[in-house]
Amino acid sequence: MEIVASNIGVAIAGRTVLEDVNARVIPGQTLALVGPSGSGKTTLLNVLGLLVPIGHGTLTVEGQETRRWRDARRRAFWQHHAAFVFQDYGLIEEESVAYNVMLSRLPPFWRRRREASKILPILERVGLPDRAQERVSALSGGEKQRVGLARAMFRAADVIFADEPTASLDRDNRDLVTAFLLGEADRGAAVVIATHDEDLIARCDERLELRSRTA
Amino acid sequence: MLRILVRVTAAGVTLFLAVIAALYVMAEEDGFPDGAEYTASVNFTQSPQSKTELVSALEALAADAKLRLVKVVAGPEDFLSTRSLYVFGPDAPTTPQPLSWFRPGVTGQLRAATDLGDTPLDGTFVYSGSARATAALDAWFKRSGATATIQHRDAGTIFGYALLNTGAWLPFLTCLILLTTVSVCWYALRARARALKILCGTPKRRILVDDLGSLLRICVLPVAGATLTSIVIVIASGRASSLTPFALALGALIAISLVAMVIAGLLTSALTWPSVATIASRRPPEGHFATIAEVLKIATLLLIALLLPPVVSAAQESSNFTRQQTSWASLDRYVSLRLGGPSDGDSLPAGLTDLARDADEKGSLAFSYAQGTADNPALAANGYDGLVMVNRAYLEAVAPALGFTPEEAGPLGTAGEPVTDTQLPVNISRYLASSFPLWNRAGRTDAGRETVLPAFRYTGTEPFPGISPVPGDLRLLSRPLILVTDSVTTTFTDGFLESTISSGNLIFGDSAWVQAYLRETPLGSHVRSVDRVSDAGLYAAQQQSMVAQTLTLSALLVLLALLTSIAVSAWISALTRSRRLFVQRTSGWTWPRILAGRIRWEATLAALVTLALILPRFGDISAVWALLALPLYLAPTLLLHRRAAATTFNSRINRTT
Repeated sequence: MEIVASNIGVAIAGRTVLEDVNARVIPGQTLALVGPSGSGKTTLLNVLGLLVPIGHGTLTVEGQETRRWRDARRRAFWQHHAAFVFQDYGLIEEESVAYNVMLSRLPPFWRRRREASKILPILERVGLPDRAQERVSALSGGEKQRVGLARAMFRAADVIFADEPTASLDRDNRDLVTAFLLGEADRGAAVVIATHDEDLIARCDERLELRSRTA
Repeated sequence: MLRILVRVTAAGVTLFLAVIAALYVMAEEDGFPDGAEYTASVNFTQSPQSKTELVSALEALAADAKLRLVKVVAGPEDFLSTRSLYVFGPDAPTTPQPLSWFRPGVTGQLRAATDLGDTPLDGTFVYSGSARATAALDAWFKRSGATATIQHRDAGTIFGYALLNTGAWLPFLTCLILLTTVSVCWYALRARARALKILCGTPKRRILVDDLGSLLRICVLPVAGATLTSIVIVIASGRASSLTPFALALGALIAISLVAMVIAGLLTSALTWPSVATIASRRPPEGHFATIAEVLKIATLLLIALLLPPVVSAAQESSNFTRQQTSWASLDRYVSLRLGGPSDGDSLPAGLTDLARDADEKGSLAFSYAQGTADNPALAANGYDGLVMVNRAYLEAVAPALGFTPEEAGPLGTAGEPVTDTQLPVNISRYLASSFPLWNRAGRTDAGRETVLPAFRYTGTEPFPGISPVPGDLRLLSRPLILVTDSVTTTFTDGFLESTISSGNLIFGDSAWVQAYLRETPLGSHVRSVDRVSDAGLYAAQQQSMVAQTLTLSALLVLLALLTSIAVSAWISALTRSRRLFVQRTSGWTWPRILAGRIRWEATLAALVTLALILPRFGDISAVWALLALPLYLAPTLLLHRRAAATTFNSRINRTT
């Protein structure tokens, strides 16, 4: 799935966050969004993920202009094509690991326990075997990020948007996240990563440097 | 987001309180106009003095005792929306002056008591002055044979009246619950910060003061803004003279609300204080609050659901005032005579029947004698709510207001069905058979009653006005049995005519002719006053009209409070579930799916509330309204939840940028 941003500008609460930025996301490629804090990395990631509307410029997904996309179409994009990995894990703390992993295709509650068996191989891959029914709030930070990865794996999305996915993780967990993201690109997914992690940046196919607008 | 919610709710609640303060001022003005300290409902029926003598005595008393004494009168220009004050003593204006009332749409004049004219002296007086002056008036009431029910002005009583009798207590209580809910929400969303402060070893008192202080600080501007707005509205609408009582009432209400909010805050804080174990177990600190917020919302809903129907039906009932006003206004040219009191002995003055006969010949004599079910229990048992004896002149006077045209064959036109003696319920027939011979001019017999006093079942849609034998007591009857005489003076005995003139059931349509007649005949010396018949009914209709306005406003306020309560609850729900919303939405869930749990809960709640509305009224027409409550509640609820969720989602995205 190809996403192209041309000369886009974004203002939030009256403050210009992005101005005339160009970006291209290609299947099978990892794109690192880099720059100092406040340079708009997360905003650009959210723009490419259709979470934040653009002020000017064009943003296309598979050649289709998205500016006039209605809510249902954006939702369909999130449901069928995109997966998000957040710095704060993006998990529902009071729900179980299985619930969070199966979120995009959540079965009715009476079938959840039975269907949780389908995600066991994924949980094993992220080092959380036998933790499917545990509450997320009881997990450590690194474990939570692994649940986030498991969810992205379960979805087998066309595009993965990762916002500071390795921040505040130990080396083992950082390696696990990096391996996952590169593996997803190898699978054919387009991967966009907003990060300060130099190791991760070095292993990405492309990098887009953003400058601080306050500098 | 929460800050906006707290600010909007604080401003909204202050505006609600401003409306309740306005209701208070109206209630105060209704009960104690002209800034009076006392109100008295006075009846001079048993007084031996004439109206002129009574007015002179009151004028002298007001002057001597330095008493501000005022008679409150509905009309006479427009009975429904005019309320005038007639001043006794040296304070009386030389020319009528316009009066401005706080209640919208009401006008009136400040006039001298000497302008009272045909207006009866019976009714409401308000007064203020020194203790000696008011005591002198009380003593005068007793001396002059008047019966007076006196009420002292008391802010608590007026406030109670403003809240209870007008239904305003319901929106007031809802405001308090809303503030409590917002206060709980504020604590909920500061729970994480509080847990951190506890971990940092901040003293408990400091945390409590910080939380409370921040809540109060955030409310100051919106409360001040809304207060100022309401004051500007009061001044701009030309009611600056009532600004002080309005501002005092609003200030008191705001103070009560703030105290309630502080108590709610402290209680919430105490009930939800996180233990170190809770913090260590990594359970979300907001968890405590969802239940409290939901319980408060259910309390609001139940309160409104159970109490809104009575408020609405009371408003509907009172709205009959327009019909009453039309009915009584049709009699506004008729006057009754107040005859000399007991000092004249038991006998009535001679010449009364001559006056009645002359008036009857002129066609200006009307007769109405009404009994209710309390006077005659047999009526209720047979489906009637009253028995009214009338003559044709009376029917012709009231017919236009009641929407029928009297015909030769049927005096009630399309608004009445003849009832033969055999069709009359036995009890009523027996009552008439025993009573009529006492009144019958043709002799002590019941024979011929059906011919001279035929009976009709009233089938009109407008209530039928009747004059009871108790002076000043006017009644509206929905299903009366009506007995109609063609000529009251040829049907009834002189004794009956005299007693009905004396009781105000025989009334005269030409006031000027009656006054001239009384001046020219010895009868004049026995007549204490000539009073307009409709005043008492019109004053009561005006009072009810004012209560109806207030109740309607209260019902409207309750609905607005309900809507605000739903909005606050939706925002709290969205705020406390913002993380869940964000994750589910970015996983591609639709809004209906994300909100499914809330929708199920709200639907269950609405169904339970509907049940609560229906059960006590099973079989009643209001059940239809109760069933309508389900979609009427769910539609705005779902819209508000959707809006709150979408806004919370967007603000969370922007926060992450």
